[in-house]
Amino acid sequence: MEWTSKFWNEVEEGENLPPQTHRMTRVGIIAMAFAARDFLPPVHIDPESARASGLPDVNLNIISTGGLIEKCLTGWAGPLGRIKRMKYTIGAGVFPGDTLTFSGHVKRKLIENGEHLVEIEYTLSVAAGPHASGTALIALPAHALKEGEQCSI
Amino acid sequence: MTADLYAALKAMEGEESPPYTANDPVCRAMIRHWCEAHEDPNPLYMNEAYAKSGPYGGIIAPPTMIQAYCTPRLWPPSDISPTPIFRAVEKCASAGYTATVGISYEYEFLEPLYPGDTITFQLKLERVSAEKKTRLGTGYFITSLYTYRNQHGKIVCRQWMTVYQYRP
Repeated sequence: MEWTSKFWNEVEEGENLPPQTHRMTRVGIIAMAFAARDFLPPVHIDPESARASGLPDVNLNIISTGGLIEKCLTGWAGPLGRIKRMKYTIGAGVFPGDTLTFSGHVKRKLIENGEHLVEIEYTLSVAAGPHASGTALIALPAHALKEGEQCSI
Repeated sequence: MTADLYAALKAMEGEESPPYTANDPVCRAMIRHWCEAHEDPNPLYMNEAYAKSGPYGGIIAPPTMIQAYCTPRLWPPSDISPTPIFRAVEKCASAGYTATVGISYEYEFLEPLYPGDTITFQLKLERVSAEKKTRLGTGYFITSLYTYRNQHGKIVCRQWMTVYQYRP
């Protein structure tokens, strides 16, 4: 498989990121909680505990919220995109059967300490509303690499 | 009562836990389990050949995964003493501010996480807001800072978490 990455000189301010989706199953939510080692309180792995806490079912753990945002950001930027900062506020919970949709746009381009950066404003939503929304600062390779040139990212 | 609680919380600002060591070193098996669960195809995490030719010279872990190495384990019981955050939440709970809701998260990633890295982390109670009324109830916004370091003493990641601790 060929992996491609965005180059800073190809990205434009205001440009929209193509939407990405992730379908949430109960198994997926539980597998993410295991991968994140997020067992306490057990509302991410045990439907009974979740209901006892007033939730309709197991919900997505917050460590994985960051993991999914990161996946979508590098899904757009490609593997050479390096996330430097990332922040978000939390909204609606994510439950089995939900489809998460990631959308965003390039808020600004900047060069700082020799790094070529883009600031992305994004939202990760379910039907009930935004689950997480915020901004991220990503370093991109400045331009397409020439033959034999090493990537400095 | 409430003024006393606020003063007690405010006095805790800046308190930091001692360094704790992560349960496991960064490892390929946990990286793969993470990628499998989150369906993250980034070749830096699992594709040896790609990662080797890439900017890090080998496999790295997804940056946000750092927290997975530092969550409380199920068994044997954790030897982590109550952190400033835990103690602040306890103080609130005993005054009737029993509910917690996550509000916002922020990460600063400074160094890549390589398999074999041993992470230590410290938790600091960074900020407590004045009492605020919201549609959930009345309470305090409490911001904590996790500082994660690798075995070379370099800061790998800083992570801020703000929760709203309130009386429903």
